[in-house]
Amino acid sequence: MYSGGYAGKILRINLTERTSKAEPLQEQLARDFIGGAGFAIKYLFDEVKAGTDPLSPDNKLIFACGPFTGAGVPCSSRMSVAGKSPLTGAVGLALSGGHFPVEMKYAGWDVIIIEGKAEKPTYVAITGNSVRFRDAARIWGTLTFDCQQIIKDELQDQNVRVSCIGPAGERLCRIAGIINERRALGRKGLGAVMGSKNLKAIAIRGKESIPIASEERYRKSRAALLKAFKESPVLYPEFAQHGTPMVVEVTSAMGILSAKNWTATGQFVPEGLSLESQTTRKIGKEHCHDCPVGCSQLKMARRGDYAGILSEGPDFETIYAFGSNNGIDDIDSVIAADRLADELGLDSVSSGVTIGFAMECFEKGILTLKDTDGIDLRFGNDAAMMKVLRKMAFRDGIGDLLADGSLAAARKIGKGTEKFAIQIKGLELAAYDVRGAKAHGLNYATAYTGADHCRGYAFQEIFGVPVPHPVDRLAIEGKGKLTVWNQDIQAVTCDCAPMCKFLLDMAIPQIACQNTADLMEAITGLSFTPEEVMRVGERLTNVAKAFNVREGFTRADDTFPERLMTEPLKAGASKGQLISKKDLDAMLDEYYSERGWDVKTGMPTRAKLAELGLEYIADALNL
Amino acid sequence: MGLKQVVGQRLLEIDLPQGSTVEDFVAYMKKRWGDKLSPHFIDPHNNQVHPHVRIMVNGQTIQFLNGMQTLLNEGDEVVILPLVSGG
Repeated sequence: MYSGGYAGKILRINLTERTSKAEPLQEQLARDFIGGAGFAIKYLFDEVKAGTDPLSPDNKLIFACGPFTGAGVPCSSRMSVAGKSPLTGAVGLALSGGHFPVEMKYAGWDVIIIEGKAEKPTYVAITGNSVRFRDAARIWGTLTFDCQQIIKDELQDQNVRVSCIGPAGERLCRIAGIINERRALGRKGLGAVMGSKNLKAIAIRGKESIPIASEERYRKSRAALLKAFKESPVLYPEFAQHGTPMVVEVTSAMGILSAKNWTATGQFVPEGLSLESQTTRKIGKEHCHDCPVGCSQLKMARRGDYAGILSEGPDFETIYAFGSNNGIDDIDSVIAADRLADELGLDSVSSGVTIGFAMECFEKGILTLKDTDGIDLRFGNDAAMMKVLRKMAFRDGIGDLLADGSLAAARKIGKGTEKFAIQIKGLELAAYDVRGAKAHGLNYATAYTGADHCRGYAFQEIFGVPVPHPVDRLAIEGKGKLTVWNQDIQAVTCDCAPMCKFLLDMAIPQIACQNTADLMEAITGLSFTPEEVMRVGERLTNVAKAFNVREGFTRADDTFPERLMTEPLKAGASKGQLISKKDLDAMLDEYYSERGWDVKTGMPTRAKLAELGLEYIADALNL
Repeated sequence: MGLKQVVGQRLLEIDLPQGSTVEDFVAYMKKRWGDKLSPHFIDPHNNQVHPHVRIMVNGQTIQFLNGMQTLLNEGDEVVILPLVSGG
């Protein structure tokens, strides 16, 4: 039995009945899935039936932490939240950092499952074992930062941590996220799931400590981790100073910074988004709980209508989504958009890319001023972007057309605009024009959440990290195997344990599995070999894939937007690159083969599921 | 970032003799900017290109061409990518 790391309890909250109950955390679950995303996705498969309407009371929101959270492991204040995504219809998984995850463990919970639907706007206040259902009528409609403060004042505790939705989640925008502090569980529309349950917020406070199975082993493993952090040539010298925005210029130099709805990658030179322009906006930095790095940059816009607007960020993805992707070369407007998206509770990537889609439609005359409420929605018009962003959260005019993402908008507009929607399985593509980074692209095509850079990030291609081996970003062969490795190692070491993803490629790529195994034994008393650690990642990916198969997803859904397969990049260091159907098929064949799945259909096989101890899933899929 | 500040600009056009390689390009950089290239580009311990810096010629990392002996031709674009990471 585990003897540390876990709180040992699962909290089930039923909003319909206004009840809560505690269940024990079973050891087998801990052994098979470790924690975090592993727990969340296992519960999702087991408890949300196929065909469930994501915005119905039958969907669930599952918050889950892992054994490292709250145990003092650096960079482990991370939580996973899963539900059926209203944006994709597939697994919806988002992760967030900050302080809420640790507080959840201190309150005594490894997992919190939200079920049903409250009769009226409600927030839930959890203090240790106590669960109170509180009237949220007066805070329904508030922006997320104000909401958090009002709840702290109402509960008379400035140390309570809050996860909440904004106007976007309340209006069931399918690209709405959940905000905790100034962090975001941004993607896949989980904010709309929360809104569909009439749940405005979860407030949590705890005072328990997390036991450690072996203090001596723990000190040794923790020291090895911190040594690796210190030895990284990038983590403290560069990343701690600049954060993710330093990726802007590198991707631009590589010719893979997507621009103007992926029509001008390599042509758009982001001078106004450069690190130099950003350093003049930096006024401080933030750390998640137990993080010695502090990569989050606090920035304040300086010019024009945006002067004085402060944001924790923008991070690279947001700079792409509101900046280069919309032809905007001005960091102040991106800072302002980042802040506004957080306050409204909108995913910055999906909202930015959806606006980029609308900009292309406008420039091509498919959307007119009449459609856009008189807004001149051309690429580069930052004022227009800000107006439309706000309208999306309130489903106002053009905002209602765009509030559910680019694919939904394209289907409403028709006129062939689906080919301008840069999405896979309904999820807008994250940054990096993958025509110039093939394994990164294959991850977008195959990730169980849609085009999600957080599932199997190909840091070998983007940053040149030679682990497990050096990788030619433009080659096709070998990318299937590489993507499997990336997806599984990130699933377990980052999403389950958990640990912030940035450490994986910057500090511990060679030792991640061993270190995870060592820390697991030290903290929980459960023994893992590095191979068994990887097996947990593989198991999680198979359960998630099975959920999607059960929802009707097939090999045909593991694909790219037409633009990426037919339009070569026109300029820059990746000029001429695209991913043809032939190349996609070759990579998919290798990927499915490496996974032990049926190559023709892309589905898990009974043999593979049995190997992972998931025979019951094979039965459920009638394999 | 650091290297751009040393060189003074993001894009630079230079002339090298025909038949020059990437190694010759690095030698040119060292001759022109000397010690200022440490630590952004040149590792001060061994006076070689820092192992974490990537050099690309026409979009391809030299590791997958002919390494430091990669030949440079008229009009070629050499990109020096510093060590970065992030999201």
